[in-house]
Amino acid sequence: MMTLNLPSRCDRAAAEALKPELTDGVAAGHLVLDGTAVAQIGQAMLQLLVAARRTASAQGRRLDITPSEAMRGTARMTGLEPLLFEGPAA
Amino acid sequence: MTNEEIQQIFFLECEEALGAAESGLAACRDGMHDADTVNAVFRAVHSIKGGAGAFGFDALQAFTHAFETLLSDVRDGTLPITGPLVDLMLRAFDVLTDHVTAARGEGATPEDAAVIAALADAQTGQIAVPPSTDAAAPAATAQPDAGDSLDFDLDAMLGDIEAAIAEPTEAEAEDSADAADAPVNAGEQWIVTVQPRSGALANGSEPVLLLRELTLLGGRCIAVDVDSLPDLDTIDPGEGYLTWRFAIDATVDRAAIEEIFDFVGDDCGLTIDRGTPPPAREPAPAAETVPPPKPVATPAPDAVAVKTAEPAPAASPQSPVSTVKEAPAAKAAPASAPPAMGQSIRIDLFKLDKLIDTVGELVIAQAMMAQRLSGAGLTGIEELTMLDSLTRDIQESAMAIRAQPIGSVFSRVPRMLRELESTTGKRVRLEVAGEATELDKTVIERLGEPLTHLIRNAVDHGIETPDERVAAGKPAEGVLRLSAEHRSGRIVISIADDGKGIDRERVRAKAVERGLIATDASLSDEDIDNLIFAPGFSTAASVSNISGRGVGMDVVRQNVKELGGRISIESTPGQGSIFSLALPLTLAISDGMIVTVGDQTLVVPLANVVESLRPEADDVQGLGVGRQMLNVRGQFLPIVPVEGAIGARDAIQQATEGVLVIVDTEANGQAALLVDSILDQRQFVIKSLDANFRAVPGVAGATILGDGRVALILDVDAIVSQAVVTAGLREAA
Repeated sequence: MMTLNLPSRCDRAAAEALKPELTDGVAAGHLVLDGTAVAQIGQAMLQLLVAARRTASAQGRRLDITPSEAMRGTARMTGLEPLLFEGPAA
Repeated sequence: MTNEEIQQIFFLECEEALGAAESGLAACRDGMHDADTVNAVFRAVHSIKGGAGAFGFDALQAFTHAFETLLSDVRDGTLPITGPLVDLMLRAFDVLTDHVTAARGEGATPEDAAVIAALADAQTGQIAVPPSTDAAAPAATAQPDAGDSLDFDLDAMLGDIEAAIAEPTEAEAEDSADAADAPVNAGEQWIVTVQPRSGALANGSEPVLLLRELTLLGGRCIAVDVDSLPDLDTIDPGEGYLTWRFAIDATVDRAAIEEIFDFVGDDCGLTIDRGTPPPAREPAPAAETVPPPKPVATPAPDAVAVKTAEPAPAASPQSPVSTVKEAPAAKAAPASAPPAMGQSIRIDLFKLDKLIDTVGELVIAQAMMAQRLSGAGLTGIEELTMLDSLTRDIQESAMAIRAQPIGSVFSRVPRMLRELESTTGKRVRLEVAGEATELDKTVIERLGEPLTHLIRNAVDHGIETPDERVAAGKPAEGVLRLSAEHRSGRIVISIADDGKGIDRERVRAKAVERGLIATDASLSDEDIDNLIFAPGFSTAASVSNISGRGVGMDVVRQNVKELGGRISIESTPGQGSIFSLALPLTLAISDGMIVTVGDQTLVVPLANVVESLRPEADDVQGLGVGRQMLNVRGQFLPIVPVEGAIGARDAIQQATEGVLVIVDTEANGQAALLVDSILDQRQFVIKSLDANFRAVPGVAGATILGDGRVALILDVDAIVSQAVVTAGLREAA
């Protein structure tokens, strides 16, 4: 099981920086993303995480995300809460 | 950029927005409007509101908000476009124009309480021409609401979202109270579809913040489409792959929703439709429990004001709220209505004038060189011909740059007419032709005053009241036709009305009363018409505020004469009158005759010249003391020796030995100027004597000849008038 930490500010730059690590992480096996430090999260990161979860699921792997309050709130507002947090990998 | 410079841009854009709004409203008035037309007016007013807020022009902002709210309903189709509604909107437009002028510091803030009340009433379906005084709750709350919700917008724009979050419940409450006027069915919603495209994630902008704004208005996400999302391997974090659908209660003002996406433009696909949504899965909390992402503070006035032409300044990537792109909204509106125009840029007038001046000097220098070369016997030089032709091209281009379409003068007329209509109770329709006709900036500037007076005259004296017109078998609404065209090197502007024409009996009677003509003088119709240009003449029974003080028409003729032009009248009793102004295309360059008088070389403007001749002894007859008359084909004209008028010496005294230049004058008919000889006839650049020295009677300006000498330009009218007066006095003595 591998853990990746999400930064406090998850903007487009952070998404671009994270993508290669995410790709490796998903390929490696069960991946956990620690989002407890996230204060802001934007579309770039949100869609990246959704894509990551879907890809993991398609490959039969697990991707779990532990959100901060802020992250959960934004996910809820944008209707992406189920896609990011429910099920082993939605 | 300084704040001043940004404000200047804002005011320039206000001018454009006002222009777009006025054309849209004019189209509504003529019944030629569609959804786009009204939308264009709305967007124009909306864009003024945005900037007004950013610069703290509170009165302007409050008024545009009230106006915009009404326009929003008109645009949605909630309010049908009727005659009285259009009249109200035009009144509001005039007040808006005054507000903008006041914001620039060029006028007093207008009284707008009455119009604001009328706008609010109109929204509930009560449109009265005099605004109803029982402006009740809707009007009362509209003002403070406008202020508060605009403050909310202002805070958001300034990037202080934390403060904005503290007030969401207040803002929402006020939004619903504010929009309570809009008739809405319970349970109806706006369905807002937001699809950020590739540009939306560029430059640090963040679509999620826009969604948060929607949430603050009471919106909630009802669907998110992730179908376009590719695999982790192929995904590009900078692209947008999500589409959201939000539902917002329809009591929210549609404008408030659109405002959120003001700066996004094409980067975000946006639709706002009415509909009933599917049952909500999870209502989003009205107030977030967590502070939203706080953008790095950026001075928003940069972002707000620099909306169209300028590219986003480097500072703004830090501001996630406003993507300063070319806002197509403000531009798209004008683009949909008027035909596509060529590209243009704004120029500092000072730079342009300097360029024109230098071109003028170039023309003179080139003429001087040509003269010297020919004087040295070097003729037929090819390079000189090239230079000559290039200089002429530059001159033409320079003059063309200064040329502006006369439409800019005509554009002030609609408002003038609205005011005249309300003060005189007459109805007048305006027809305009030839707005694209171009003339020199210098002429345009000085055209405004005489034109204004002629129009006032046409409405006040020419066009009859609706009752009178109907009784005469005419439509109740009078027609005023303004047109401009180029004709043989001049520009002819005509002001025509279909009113009652000049009452020649009254004019003649008045002239006799004033002692301008003898009781039994026989005058042609044309002569009588021209009497109205006499100083102190006015047949208006009462002196109204508009005209009738008897200082109008003669001033008009004077103004036109100073422009180097002529004014003439054509009038048919019962049918109307046409006033025609013939003006030179430019005041800067003119055609003239170069003449010698004694030791002086002078220029006679060709505009005045009829012909020139050397008389036979028989053609010249003496009349009284020291006066001579020229017999030209049966007509006798006074001979005016130019020598005496300008103080030259050793001029030819005998008309038969010199040249007589027959000129036409405004005030004194024709005369024959006695000069020694005519040297040449060509174009010359006019240099103002006033600017460089002082005004000299008899002299209209100066120019520099090919040999570098200064030549004075004769003021033909003055010289002839002077000579006639002097002769008259001499005779009397």
